[in-house]
Amino acid sequence: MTKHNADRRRSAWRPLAFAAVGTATLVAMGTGVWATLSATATNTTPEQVTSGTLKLTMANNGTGFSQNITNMAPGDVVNRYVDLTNGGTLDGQALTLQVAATGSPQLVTDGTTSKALRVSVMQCTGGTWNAGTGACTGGTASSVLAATPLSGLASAVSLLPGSFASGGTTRLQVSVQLPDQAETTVNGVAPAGTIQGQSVSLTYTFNETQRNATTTNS
Amino acid sequence: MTTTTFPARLSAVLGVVLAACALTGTAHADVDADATVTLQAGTARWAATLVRPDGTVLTGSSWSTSYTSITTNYLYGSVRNTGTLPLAAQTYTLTTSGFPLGAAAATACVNGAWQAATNTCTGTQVTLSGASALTLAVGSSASVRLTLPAAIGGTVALSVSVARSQARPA
Repeated sequence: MTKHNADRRRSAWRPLAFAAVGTATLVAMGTGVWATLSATATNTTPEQVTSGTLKLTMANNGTGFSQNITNMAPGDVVNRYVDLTNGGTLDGQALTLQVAATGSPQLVTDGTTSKALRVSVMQCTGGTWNAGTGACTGGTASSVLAATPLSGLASAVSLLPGSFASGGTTRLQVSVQLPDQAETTVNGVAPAGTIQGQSVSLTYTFNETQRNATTTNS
Repeated sequence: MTTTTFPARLSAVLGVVLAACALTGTAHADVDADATVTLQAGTARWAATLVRPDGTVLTGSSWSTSYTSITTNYLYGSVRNTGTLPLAAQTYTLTTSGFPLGAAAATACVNGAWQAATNTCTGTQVTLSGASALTLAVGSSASVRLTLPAAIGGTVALSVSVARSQARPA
């Protein structure tokens, strides 16, 4: 009786054991059993992607910025000529000018009278500046910056807000002017706050930014 | 007690990350290009200074002399362009005090010089009074004679000033 019962219990577990062993075998062999097919497509020639460049260079036309300005008297205007070229591969835009001035404050900032040095800029479109005569030869001259005290150029101001094509050149006349004014020296001594015998260091920075980013479809 | 819920914490973290991106700007930075150059700009000076007979340059003061004499006497000095612009004229002011018996005077000798021994000008005499057309190149001088009238306790002083309009034009 007891042996019979034990045999019956063993027989009841036998199918579960076979199922477990079978499942384990299938899992072990599963990679082969469940593998799927796949396919890829690859461009045989790699796609090249290059970034553009933006380069702004300045060349003197005549003296340009190669020489200091000395011995300016009130009313004097000194014109210098420079060519700006966008030498990069990208079109530029929004040409600006900033002039950092250090030195005699009276030449930088106006007081009760207009004593500070002024900078103005003209452009010669379609032609070139004759540095000897100041004429815009073969083109049209136009103002791109009215006379502005140096203190007003401490931050960048707009010269040409539009596009500056790659490979293009902008020809500029940069004028520095000491406003006319009356000062009298007595026995060789200039009055207080004089603009006589003063100097400033001028750092001109022309800047352009890249053209607007675009999305192309092709 | 403050309780922070998870969504609030998440929002705060995202906010910090977005702010950092905005500050660094790397995600949307445009390319720009500069061209820079530096030069100096300097201004001129227009000035004239009187020089005593002993060569003292009277910067900041007039040529002044005090004396007592029963006869007219002369002093010989000069006026010098000490500025950096050529001068077409200067303005002279002559003052006299004490008890002079005559008029004081200042006279330049152009294209020549005063000869003290003979009290003569080897060039052309130009009276220095008020605005006087005396051309002086930068650094050059003109001989000047100061006439001292007879006086008791007299003082004669000559000063020179230069206005912008008396230097080269713009």
